[in-house]
Amino acid sequence: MSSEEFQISDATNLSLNEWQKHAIAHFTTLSNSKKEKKLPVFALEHCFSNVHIELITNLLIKDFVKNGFNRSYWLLWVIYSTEIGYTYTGEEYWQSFKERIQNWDQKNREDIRWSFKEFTRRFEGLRPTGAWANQFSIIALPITHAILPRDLQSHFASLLFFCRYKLRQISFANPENIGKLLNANSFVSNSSRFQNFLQQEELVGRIALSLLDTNAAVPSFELIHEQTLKRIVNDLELKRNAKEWVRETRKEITPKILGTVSSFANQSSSQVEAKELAPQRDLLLKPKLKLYQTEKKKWSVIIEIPQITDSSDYPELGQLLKRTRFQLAGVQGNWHPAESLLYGSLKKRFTKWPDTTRLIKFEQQHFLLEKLLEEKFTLTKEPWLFRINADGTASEIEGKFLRPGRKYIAIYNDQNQIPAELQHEVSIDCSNISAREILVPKVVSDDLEATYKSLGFEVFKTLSIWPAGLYPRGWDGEGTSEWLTTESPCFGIIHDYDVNEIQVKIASETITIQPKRAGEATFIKIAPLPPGQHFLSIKPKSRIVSASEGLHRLDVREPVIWTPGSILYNGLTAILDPNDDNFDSFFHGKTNLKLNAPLNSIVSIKIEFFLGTDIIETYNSQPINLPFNDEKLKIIRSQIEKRENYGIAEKARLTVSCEDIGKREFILTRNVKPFRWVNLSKGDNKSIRLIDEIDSSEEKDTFFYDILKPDTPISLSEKDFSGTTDVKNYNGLFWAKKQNYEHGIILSDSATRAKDLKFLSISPKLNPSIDFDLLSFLKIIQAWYNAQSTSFITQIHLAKVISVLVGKLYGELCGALWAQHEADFITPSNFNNDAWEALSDQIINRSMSNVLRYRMINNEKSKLNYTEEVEWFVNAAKRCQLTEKRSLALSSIKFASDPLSFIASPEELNSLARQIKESPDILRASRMFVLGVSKLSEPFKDFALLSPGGVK
Amino acid sequence: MIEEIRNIDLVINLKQSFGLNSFKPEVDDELLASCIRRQAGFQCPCSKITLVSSVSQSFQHLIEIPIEEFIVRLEEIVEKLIIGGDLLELNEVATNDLAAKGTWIFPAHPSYLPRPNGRFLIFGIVPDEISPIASLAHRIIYAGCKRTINQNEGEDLDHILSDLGLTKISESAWLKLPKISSAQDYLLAMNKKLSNATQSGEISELVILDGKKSNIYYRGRWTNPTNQTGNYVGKRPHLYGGIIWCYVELKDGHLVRFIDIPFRHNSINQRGCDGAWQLQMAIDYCAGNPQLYDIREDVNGDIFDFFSPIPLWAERRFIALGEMVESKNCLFSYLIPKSDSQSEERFIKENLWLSRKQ
Repeated sequence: MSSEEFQISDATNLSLNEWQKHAIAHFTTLSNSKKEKKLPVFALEHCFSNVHIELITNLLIKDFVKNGFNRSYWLLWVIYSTEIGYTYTGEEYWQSFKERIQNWDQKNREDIRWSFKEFTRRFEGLRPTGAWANQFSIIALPITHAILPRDLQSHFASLLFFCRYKLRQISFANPENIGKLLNANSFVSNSSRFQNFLQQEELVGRIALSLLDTNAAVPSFELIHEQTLKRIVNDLELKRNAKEWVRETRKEITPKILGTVSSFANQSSSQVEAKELAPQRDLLLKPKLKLYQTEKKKWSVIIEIPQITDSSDYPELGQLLKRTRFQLAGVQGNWHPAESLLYGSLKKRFTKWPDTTRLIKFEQQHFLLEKLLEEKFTLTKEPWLFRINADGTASEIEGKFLRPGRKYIAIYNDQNQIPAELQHEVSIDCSNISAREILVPKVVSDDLEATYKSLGFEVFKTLSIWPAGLYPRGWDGEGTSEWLTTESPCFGIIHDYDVNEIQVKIASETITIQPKRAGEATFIKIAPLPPGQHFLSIKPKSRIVSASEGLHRLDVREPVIWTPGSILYNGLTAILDPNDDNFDSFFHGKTNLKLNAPLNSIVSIKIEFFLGTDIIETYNSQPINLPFNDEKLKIIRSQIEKRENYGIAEKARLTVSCEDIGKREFILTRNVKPFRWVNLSKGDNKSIRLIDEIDSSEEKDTFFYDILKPDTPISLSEKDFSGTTDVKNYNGLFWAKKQNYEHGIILSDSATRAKDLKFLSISPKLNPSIDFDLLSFLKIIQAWYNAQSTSFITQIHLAKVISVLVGKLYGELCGALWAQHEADFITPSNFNNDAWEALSDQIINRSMSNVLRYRMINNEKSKLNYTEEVEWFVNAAKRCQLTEKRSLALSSIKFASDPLSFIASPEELNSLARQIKESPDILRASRMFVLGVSKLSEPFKDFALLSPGGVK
Repeated sequence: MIEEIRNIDLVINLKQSFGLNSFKPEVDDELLASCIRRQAGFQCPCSKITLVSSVSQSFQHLIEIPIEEFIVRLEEIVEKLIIGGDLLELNEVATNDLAAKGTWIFPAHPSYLPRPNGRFLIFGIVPDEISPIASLAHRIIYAGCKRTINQNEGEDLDHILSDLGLTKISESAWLKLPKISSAQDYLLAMNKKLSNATQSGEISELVILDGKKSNIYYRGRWTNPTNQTGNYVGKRPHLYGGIIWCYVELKDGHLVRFIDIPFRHNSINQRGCDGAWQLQMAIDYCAGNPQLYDIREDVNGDIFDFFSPIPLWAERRFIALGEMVESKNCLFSYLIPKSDSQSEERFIKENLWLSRKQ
């Protein structure tokens, strides 16, 4: 009897030995059949039903309680662990073992590892790969063998749907290609666990192939055991919309799956040509310059940058653009937020004509950004020609063609280049350029044509083509247009002289059209084209005029699929700056929310807090009038921090809505690290637990720092925090470290007690008997600074602790008096103009002291440019003989603004510390400079000024 | 791969590519609305005229009417798409993209409005797809500028659309009305605002709505100031082909003072044109010459005929309740179920101060 035919009545009487035998028999058969095809075996491909699994589980648990882990049943343990992995939701894997199996111990994790090793050895079981699998070598086994855990199924279907057009473009012969493509688009999902899953590209590719196999009766890809696949598909189809997503994706790629050629394969010649023209499958992106008429005869220059889509050829690009800010030449302002190029096109006004041909510069250097964007986003050659459109705009004509009867504007950067023939000057609100209007008469004489030619322009006449029906993206009115792979471009052709025939050619296909009479339009239709550049050639034959071939370039790209929750158009823009989805960073003010929307509209912010999959608290802001600023965000944060459940939430969904203009969602995740503290406090009962999902038996260090003695560690390594632990009498920081993981959590007494104002105001005291060691002290600050706050009160206490620690840090290095003046300077209530003087008086080098004070007092916030200010400081330090060394000045500024960054480079820290010891003035001046710049930028901030994480 | 195609086949192809329900070779409202939605998907934010002129260019030699007439038709469709919620006309826009402020057209975020009859109105645009709900695209019913989808039996379409990322719009939010006031109070408030404005010099290219002209031919009421004295609704050109609606005081045809029509009035955001149209309704009503509507009986309900445009918040009620139908000797008409006819008639009388045509 095969195990598939088990009856419940049989099953209830089976012993663990018999279950094990059945399982081995099943996997042996499965393994043999897969071996021929070199396909891996998954533990989820077992032959048991849910009822069987429940029976096996009960027997296993009973046996474990009685006898401990029995390796004779290794395969049943593999199946049990995998089933837990299948329902795993990303919170705690081992917790379910501990809750269900009495006496389960951390060392039993090794038994599970051994069991999977046996599974892999005997049945060619899949070996998990990827960074996540390497890091979590045990957990990765059951979760990977669960193939597609339930909670990831919806993500997977959604990703397939998002990539449906791209899937048409790649070979299905190699599952890894599909996996790579899906992994490259991982940014579609906010789930870091799903992103980890996608790292196993071959596996991901195989699952995708299985799901997309429409011929389910006779699977063309026996990648996954039929019964198991059916189970996954059934579970997946229970999720709303997932079924439709998979169905639609299948529809797009069906020809390929059935082994026939893709819809594009018939166009192989064109594709070959497209590839030849664009060998790296470039992004086909170019910024476009446009003129906008602001008043009669007055124009502005606008640069339009299209939305940068992801590319399967360059999977890192999306992630890079999410991280790096950029500057646009000629555009006022400093760095533009990261991510803004990914969501919708940008329009910016040139205030000054760029003095470089490269139009974009990224803060972070990377060869991809340079190759794909910086090198491609360039200006064309001077003069720049713009054709005036009916709507008060003018589009750049890259080919510099003039047409009879049309109006143009030519722009010159070099005054000497402006030809005397162009006399009609037009006003343009962009410095460094002059503009001239060109009115091309309806009849262009040979002489005039020659004149235009001498000015660098070609006169185009006689035959025109235009996009018919669908107006393409990027249509410049002359030689180029942009299309999607889903569109069928159509063009109209018209001529104003008699033409005998017109030859139309694209790739290797040519058709000859018998044209209509002069002035009557002929239409042509082109089938959807693959991505790349294609050239449409139009060659008229006439007895009257000798006409040359005209080329029209079609840039074809994949459609960008909309991701729900993202902003589509810039009627509302919401960006996290920096782009960090860390829950605590956001609520602690380390990440800002930037909002832009029409001025008289109203924005509302909703934050839902989750514990597991449950919403435990929902915050709805009052309607917020724009403009939105840090102060308004600060109010929201302070309202949230007072809520009880804020402290225990694991993640939050932040939704920004602006009437009917749009909404944007962000998922903020709180430390979903494998090694973390969890706050389980309720009301006045304070309790915590330390979650340890690291696959290592290595010991951990656990310390407690009292809120009133923040530099004095108390070892708690003997205490077991693996279960809910009462910490009623502890107010302070719990900190733990294992391997490279460390995490801290700050607890204070509840809000009930905090009603006593005295309790709110604490006076932490540092231990004078502890010798000051710079690196150790920085690590203490870091432990506090990075710790998770659990309530509004802990926020207040943390601010106080940090200010005391930072005061001590700079006091030790710059002198005790310095610390006092710095504290006055920072505290808004104590700050006045004398504070500048008091601080500068502490700098012994008088020249530096004076120039620095003068510079700071006379600086204007609106004109502040950080890069220029740093350069000024370095030069001033040299001029005033504070230091000749540029590197020392820069390093000192870095320490003054971001001391914690030195923890990673102790040698640099030691070297700097030595130099500061010799001449503390350099740090005093740097610190005053950093504080001054911060004060000018954000005069009402206090805590952030003291932030040892760095003043940005 | 490449073929010559007749213009009528091109139109049919276009309709197929948009997934429209009708494949007649006519350039109808459904097709033009789809073209404008697609265009807005990548061209916006932009001015109305930019949007219209792009679409009109691609229909050269495909339409039989003169291009000027076609542009007017496209402008009307853009207007319907704004009223219907697919496009947003936002004023005082200071996005992070353009320093210039002005009135721009933005595509609306994908959204839906459930109706009690199980029919869901779908709004909004996504850049590269013909519909924000690609997986349900085959179920969309196109009627003029309106897109709807019917809930199947046993189906929870509300949740399905929400899971697909569409924002649910409640009926109360979509049909949000300004506070009711009488025509006299409305006019009094605007006159007070106007009288407080400082004196102004002439504005070039100003046109005014002359209330003395026939109130059943809206376009014929627009005129250049000549020798008029009094307060008039007007409009003047603005950046990038836009217009600003204003309320002007004239003396012998010369401008004395003016105010721009406020964008927020009686607690709702409104477009300049909506404020201007309502103001003209108040002017006409107070002058004893109220604007008119008519009701015709039809087998499927009552047809409401309008002779002047009505504000967005008023027209949305008609979109939600009924269908736009071909107009006869009027500006536009809506077919409303008989059960709603009485309440809608009361609504336009109370809120728009209209009178039934005798």
